[in-house]
Order: sequence, then C-alpha cells, then structure tokens
Amino acid sequence: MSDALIVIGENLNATRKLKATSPRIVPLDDHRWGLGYTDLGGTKRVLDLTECYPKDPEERGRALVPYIAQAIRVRDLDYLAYAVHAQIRAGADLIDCCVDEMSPWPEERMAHMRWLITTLQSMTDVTLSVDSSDPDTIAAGLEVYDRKKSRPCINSVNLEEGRLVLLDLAREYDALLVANASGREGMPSSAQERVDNLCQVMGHMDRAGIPLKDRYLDGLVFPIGAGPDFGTHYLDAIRMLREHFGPEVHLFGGHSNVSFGMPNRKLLNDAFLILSILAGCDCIMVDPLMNPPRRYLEFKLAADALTAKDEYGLTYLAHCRASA
Amino acid sequence: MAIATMQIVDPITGDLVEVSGTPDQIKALRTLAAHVERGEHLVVPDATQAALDTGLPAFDVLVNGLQAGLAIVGDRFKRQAAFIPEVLITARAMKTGMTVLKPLLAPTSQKPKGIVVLGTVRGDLHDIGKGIVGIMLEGAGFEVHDCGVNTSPEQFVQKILDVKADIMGMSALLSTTMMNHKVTIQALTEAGLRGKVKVMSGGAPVTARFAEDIGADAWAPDALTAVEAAKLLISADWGGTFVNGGALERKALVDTTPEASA
Repeated sequence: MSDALIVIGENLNATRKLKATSPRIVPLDDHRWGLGYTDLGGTKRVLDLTECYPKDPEERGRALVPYIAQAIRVRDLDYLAYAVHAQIRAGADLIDCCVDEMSPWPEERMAHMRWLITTLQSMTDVTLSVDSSDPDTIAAGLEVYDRKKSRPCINSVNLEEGRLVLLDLAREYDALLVANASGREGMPSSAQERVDNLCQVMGHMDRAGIPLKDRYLDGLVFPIGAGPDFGTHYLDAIRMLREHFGPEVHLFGGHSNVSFGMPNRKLLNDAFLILSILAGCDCIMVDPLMNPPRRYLEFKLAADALTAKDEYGLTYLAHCRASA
Repeated sequence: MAIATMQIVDPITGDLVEVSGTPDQIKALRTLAAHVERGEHLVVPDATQAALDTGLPAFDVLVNGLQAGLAIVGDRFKRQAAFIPEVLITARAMKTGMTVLKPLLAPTSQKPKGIVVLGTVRGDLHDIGKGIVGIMLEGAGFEVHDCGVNTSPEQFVQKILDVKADIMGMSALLSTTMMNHKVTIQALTEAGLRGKVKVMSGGAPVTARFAEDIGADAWAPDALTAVEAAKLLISADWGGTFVNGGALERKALVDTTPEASA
C-alpha cells in the first residue's frame, strides 16, 4: 500500500473460527450448512461448512467452526481466491498463511502448506508469509514458493528450541524474516523481557547477515481480557525497540489478539492500532476487512508529518497528491 | 428468632441450594456474594469479616458467600453474558476473602474437592489460558498444582505422585505440540497411574474428538466448562465415559443475586 505502513493480512489462518451461531452461517438445506459471501465479481457464493458444523444442536451454542481450515481442506478455490483478493483490495501488502491447526501430523501440515502456497501464487503475485510454529512446515512452503512472483516471508524465528534453523532458510530463499519476542523458557511477561528476547534474536540475525530492512520484529500481543497490563507491555516494548534499533527495522504485532474474548473487537483493535503506530510500529497485522488499513496508513502519514518524522511533510504531500 | 433464606448455586454440583439463617446472617452473605460478583476485592475482606461477625462458621461464609458470588458470574460467562475479565476480577475478589477465612477453616473443611495437576505440555510455552483454568478450578474448591509451561511427561508424573492428584489437566496452544498430550498420557500409563488419575485435555487446537482419540477422559471449550467437567469426573455420577464439555447439559441457574425472603 505504501512504505510508510506495511500491512499483513491475517485472514488465511487455519486457527480462524466463527461462532456456530453466527448469522453469516446459513442452512443450505435440512442437513447442510454454509458460510455465505459475495466474491469480488459480485457473485453470491457459499463455502460448505457441513463437515465441521456441529451435528448436535446442543453443541451449537458454544461451538466454533474452523471455516478457513475447512476451505483449505475441501480445496474451495472460489473462497480462497475471495479471501486473498479481498484482503489485498482492502490494503494488505503481505498475506499470512498458516495451516498449523489443520493437522497434528507434520506430513499433513507440510502437504497443506505446499498446496496452499502453490494455489495462492496461481491467484496473486503478493508476498505470502509462510507461517508455522514448525520449521519443517515453513521449509515445505518455501520449497514450492515461486520467487519470480515475490519474495517469501518467514513467520517466525524466535529463541525457542529448534527455531534458529529458520535463519538459514531466510538466507537460502532470500526471505523477509519475522522474529517474535518469545523466550527460550517461556512467553515474555513484561516489556523488558520482550526487548531482551528480541535483542538476542537480533544478534542471531546480525550474524546470519539478514538485512535490517528485511527484519520484522513481532512484540507479541496478548489479550487484555486475560491481563490488564498486556496492552501496555506490548506498547512499551515497541517504544523501547524503536529507540534501540532505529528507524529501519520493522516493528509490529498480532494487533487483533488484543481484543480476544471482548465485545466490539473492531473498536478495541482500532484504538490499539493507533496506539501501536504512535509507539513506533511501521507494520500492522490485522483482519483488513474488519479494520480497513487505509485509515491507519493515513493516520501514520499525518502523525509523521506532525512530529517531523516526515520532514516538511513530503511523504504526506505525495500521498495527498496521489489520492486527489 | 426470625429465619431468613436465600438460594445459592452450589459451586460443586451446580444445583440451586436453599440456605437459611438469621436475617443478619443472610444479609451479610448476600452483601458478600454481591461484592465478589462485582469483583470488589478491596472490600471483600471486610465483608467476609462482617459475615463471620454474625456468628456464621467460616465454611458457610466460604460456600454461601464467596463461592456463591463466583458461581453467579461463572454462569453468566457460560451464557455469554459476562466476559473473561469479569470472571477474573471475581476470582481475585474471592481470593482476598479466602485470606480472611483460611486461618479459621478447620483442617477437615479445608479438604479440597479434588487435587488437580495442571501444565502446558512439552515444547509449548503458552500459559495464559491454562492459568485461567487454574484460577477457576481454585475458585470452585479444587486444590491446584500448576507445573507451568514446557512440562515434560516425567514432570507431570512426578507432580501427580507428589501431591496424590485426582485429575491431570494438560494444555497445548499449538498443533505442533498437542501430540505431546498423547505422549503424556502414555507416560501416565507406563507409570501405572492412568487408572488412578482422570485426564483432561484442552487448548485452542485441541478438539473433543482429538482428546477422546488420545484416551483423555474429558475436554472442555473454555475455563468454566473445564471446571464443570472436573466436577463431573470426581463425582459418583461419572460412569467412565468420555466427557465432551461442549455438550454438557446446561443447568438452569439464577441470573440475579438471590433474593432473601423473610
């Protein structure tokens, strides 16, 4: 969308679920259920969810339906094309792709990742972020990645056991590299711990020769519903990281995690994205359909001009001219 | 002497129970339950003391005051009328009341409903959801021993032996680590503990079908249902079949603070 703010679309993640009671899920006949959507050509379509919709009406009150996993499992090309193009149209620069929740078996995950990357690249030239907590699944996605279309992104390296191998993969495939703030023994419980962990990973990336501008640091966003200080921990960490590493490295987080379990997530996400940009994020990871990124780009351009990060407001002026 | 009554939700069985006492006692219990319900942890210790000052035994103040307040919010959460932070501040309020009651509770009445060993399995560092399950189990009267994250099968087995656990609860937030639920159950079997300990399996990627397939006894979709499942596992009603928390029958519970009747 613009260099000022990089947007990662998070919607192609097999963890994504809808409440079984969601009005978006409609009965197709007496025994079949589907997710209704309108594709970008204006055609009304349905993603068949019958296989993963609870049969027992008693269970529906609290059940969650893994609709993205289902779309990948049944190879619904219409839905996947819609999911990727709708995000791009809304302003996503990278599309995160995660199939982890589709199977506990590594071979199955790897097969799904290979298929998903190949399939999406037949639909778009956008940068795909190959996302897994299992380095083998990432390697599988990179093996089939067509680098004539775009540079791949790897999500993510961290200090946990077995992950540093991703540094070699990043070099081998000339990939953008996400690093997250997880520690070797546990998740960070403060801003300082996030900074300390990421400083260590930055050291590894220095030694591996990953260019600064290819590094995306994920400060780890946890839900405020589970801990009142989780939002502050993240924002303070972003501030400290920006000060410590300067303007070139990219800083972001899984911003919509912050509202998990709370009502009106769109509103909380909106406020948190603005706070994050003010703290120093130049990248956001969101559902671009729920929180359209253009608003955050324009906010950042204006804020940068107002605080002289954008000297004489030249980037701001260019943006205004281009959108006039 | 005038007798007043109130209805509370028994935090262990989930049934509505009638409690009677003097009007002062019932008023004090209602006030205490309301403070817990609203998560007012700063005033709960005084309200707990006030209930004790009416002559109520500490155990009654615990069950009919503190736990009654928690049960109301728990029920609301299950009906999606309350949110996680409201449940957490309620549990916190209950804890401050417990600090007043604990020295007064007779050793026999302090006997927990069940002893639970919790942990996130090997290779997985996620602790938030598992921690909430622990808080809710404690609130319902269980004794909880949290092994933390990245817990090896051997650590689970050792902790179960050390504390003589009735239930083991395992968490995983990654599909890449959920197979370690199966490995942990195998370790229990090899240690000769599988027949003695009930096993609960949960976490975002874990489905009821997965939990049943790997030989767990119960699965739940959220922390409060996990408490319900745990209660069922240690009750005489449990016949040994797999408990799918997603299909547990909803009990009809009161919504508002119970009214006292003179």
